[in-house]
Amino acid sequence: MRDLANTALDTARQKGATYADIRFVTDRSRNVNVKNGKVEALSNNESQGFGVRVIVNGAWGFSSSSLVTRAEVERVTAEAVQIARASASVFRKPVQLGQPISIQDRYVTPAEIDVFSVSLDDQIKILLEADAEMRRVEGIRVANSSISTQKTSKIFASSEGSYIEQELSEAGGGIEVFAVNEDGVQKRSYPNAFGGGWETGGFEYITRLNLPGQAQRIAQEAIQLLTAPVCPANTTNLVLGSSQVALQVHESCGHPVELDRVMGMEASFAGTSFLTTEKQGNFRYGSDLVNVYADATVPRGLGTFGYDDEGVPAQRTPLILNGIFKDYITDRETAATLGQQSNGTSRADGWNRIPMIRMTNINLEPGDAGSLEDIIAATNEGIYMDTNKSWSIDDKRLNFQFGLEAAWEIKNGRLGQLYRNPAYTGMTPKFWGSCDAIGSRDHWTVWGVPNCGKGEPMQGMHVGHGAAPARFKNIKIFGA
Amino acid sequence: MSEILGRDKIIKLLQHGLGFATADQTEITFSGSRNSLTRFANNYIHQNVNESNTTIRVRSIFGQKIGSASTNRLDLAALKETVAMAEQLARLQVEDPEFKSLPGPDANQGQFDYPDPDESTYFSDPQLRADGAGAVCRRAIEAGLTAAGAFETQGNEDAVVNSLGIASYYRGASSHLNTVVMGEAGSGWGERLSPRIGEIDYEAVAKEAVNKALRSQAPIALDPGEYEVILEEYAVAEMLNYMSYLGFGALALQEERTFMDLGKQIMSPLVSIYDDGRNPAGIIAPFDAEGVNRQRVDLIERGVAKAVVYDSYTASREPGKRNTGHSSGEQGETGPIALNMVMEPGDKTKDEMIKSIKRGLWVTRFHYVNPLVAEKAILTGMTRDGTFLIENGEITRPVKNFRFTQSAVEALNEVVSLSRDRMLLPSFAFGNLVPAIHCRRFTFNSATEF
Repeated sequence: MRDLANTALDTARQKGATYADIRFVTDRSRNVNVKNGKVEALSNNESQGFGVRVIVNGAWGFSSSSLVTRAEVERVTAEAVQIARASASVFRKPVQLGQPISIQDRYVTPAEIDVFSVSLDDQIKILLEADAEMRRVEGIRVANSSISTQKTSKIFASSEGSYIEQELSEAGGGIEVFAVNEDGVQKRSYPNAFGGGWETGGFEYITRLNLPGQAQRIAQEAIQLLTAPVCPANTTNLVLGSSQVALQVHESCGHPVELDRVMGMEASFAGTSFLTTEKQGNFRYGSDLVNVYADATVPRGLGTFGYDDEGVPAQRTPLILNGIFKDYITDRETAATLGQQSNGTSRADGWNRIPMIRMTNINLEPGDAGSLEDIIAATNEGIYMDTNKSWSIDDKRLNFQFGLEAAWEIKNGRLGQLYRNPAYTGMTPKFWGSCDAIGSRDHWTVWGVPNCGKGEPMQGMHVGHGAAPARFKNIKIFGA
Repeated sequence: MSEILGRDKIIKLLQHGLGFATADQTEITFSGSRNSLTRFANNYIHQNVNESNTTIRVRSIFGQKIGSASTNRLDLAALKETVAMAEQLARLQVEDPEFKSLPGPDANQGQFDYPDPDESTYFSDPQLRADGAGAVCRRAIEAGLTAAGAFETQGNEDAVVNSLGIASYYRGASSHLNTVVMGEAGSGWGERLSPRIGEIDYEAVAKEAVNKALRSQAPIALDPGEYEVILEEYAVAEMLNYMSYLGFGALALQEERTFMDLGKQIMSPLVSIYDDGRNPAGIIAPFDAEGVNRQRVDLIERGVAKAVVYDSYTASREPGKRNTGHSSGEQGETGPIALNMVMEPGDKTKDEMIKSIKRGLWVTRFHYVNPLVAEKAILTGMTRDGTFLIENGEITRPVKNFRFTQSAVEALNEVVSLSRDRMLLPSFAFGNLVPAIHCRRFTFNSATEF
């Protein structure tokens, strides 16, 4: 691959590029889905190709192809240069990347059990067992379960002299049930909704999830939800399970700190951010308890890697400290506009996409409030909500609304009435300002989010969020 | 995929792949795409990309055991490996007693002719896209505003063959431009979709977005609540996409999680919606992921829930149901899906619709829509890029954006008029042709700060 990389970099240089990089990427994935006792999908997917990014006359050009040959590398590089020249006809300031970066290295995701070493037969057995346990509960209409495993091989080479190889692996799995009556459909999921739980690493994660062991519980809860009353409207203390805290961090901390969004680059699609640059270092984002880091080094995080797709090393960066906003997540171009160095969050969804600022693992650091049970025990009156069902936030990341699978009334430190179709809504800084309890490190989980979307063309990204259960005061809740 | 491969070459390649197969039934699909996209923000181009890709997917069936595999390599060795992998997976499977068969050639009745795709769209010139982006940016700069957006073209070659005799091929193209134009305290939107890049009137898009942005400055805060509304085509198309995903497919019906109460009046008699992948006014998509010709399906007829769309699997589960050619290529939660929807127009101009409202809201588009209660199509999302107060038949003031939490079905039950002009706007894969609508009631449950 070094020869092909050099072909691209030499071609780009000869055609007038002042910077060029090439990424060769091979993605391999296996997916097993079981639905109502049948193996609904059993698939093996492979995608390989390369993308070339160049700067010509101060403007970006990018082109990519699935055909990995010398002739195609030359053609695609020339095309990227042509595209950059067209871009240069409508631009204001030449792109600056800051200090050159030259790194030669290799990174491999640490894993105990290679994700592709476990037979599909064994994976099917796990899912069929979980499926049978879910459907053992009378009244379950649909039971779904899935295991996904993935490996990505990447080579990054740049005209600044970098040549970095990475072998990344990850695994995800989960179960969900649907129960139906005349009042509607109720759903419960484990360990999380929308694809289950995900980590980088090996198949040991799936084993640890023990999907069959949780199957009956979620099925029973779905049945109970069918006859539960709709969540009442109120303003009260809200306790969130850690997976929902993770999604709250994702939507109302992770996206607002993306510097390209702040600078308007995503305005027409995902939107901008309320977190304008004059707020850096002085804006109160949340209560003193709120500490948020971008950490691409945390073990097993779904956003953990060795280097980002600009060849910048993985880092741990404080974003919010004691409730005060400190820093953005950046790539080389946006960091340079603030006179900073990239903190290594430029990521691409495959060989055919241009790298852009993406979350790595955006973690809400643990507090000292103990476990979920401890937080509930310390709550006189309120509501506990668990597992996301719906999410939405405005285009500056202020007004949000989340729907959840289930809620329980809290009275005198104990869980009481179960409610269906609960939801809560709020405004980002006010919400984080109301945070008065965060669970301790022993109850802190790095949740994988495999469906973060951004950019045009849309790029899906696998990101992570460390989170513990947490409590928020005076939150508007309602039922749908 | 830098060049067109063409029907003969692709069908021959896929049939060669069928020759490697030992399964009882085999299906091979080919998706080739050439996507180009120019993004601009802060009045300059910041991203300009091109992608060529092909995907070959093999589905192998032994009895009622199904396995699938895919690759994006095009050589015969890769094709052979992928067929072998799909067969290996199928052998690991358990029987699916509800699987009957892949569709046979009898699923495709009649011959349909389609226009060749517009070559200037298929092989779009980056300079042409830059010119469009530049035109939008220039108008924004002249008005003291800031533009962001994307100008995209797509060329695709799709083919499906199976061992029962299906052999479908289509080459198509489309082009899409969108822009948000922003001032200090308000923004405006413009968007167009067409099979031909030459029909994207970027000056008109720029004018629309700039004018709306200028009118959007200094919005007032209104209390959330129930309002009479006009939803522009952008908002209607978005709502329709979610209704299709949630309830217009047979799988949702069979799993009792759709709002489609067949035979019942669930919307205003003014509302009729059908799906037609061969509609020349849309983005043509003549066959589905199984190579079966898409049939026109009347989903809502004068407010009555008439039918849902089927693929081979869901059709075989219900006696007397025909496959309508709407396979999404997977079952999962989605199943068959309508992606080329048409909402029948009304007889009003937008001015006439505004004049009929004493106090209400004009909503340009929605942002970040998600279902809150799927089976009732209760959606939540924000308004964006042009929300205005209507008083005594006139648009009077820009309004700070609202969050809505509203059943789409109930909103369409409250329709009192529709515009006679319609716009072609993106569906989740192709395009929807929709009018603007006037609803008596629409629920906004909170507001934001801008």
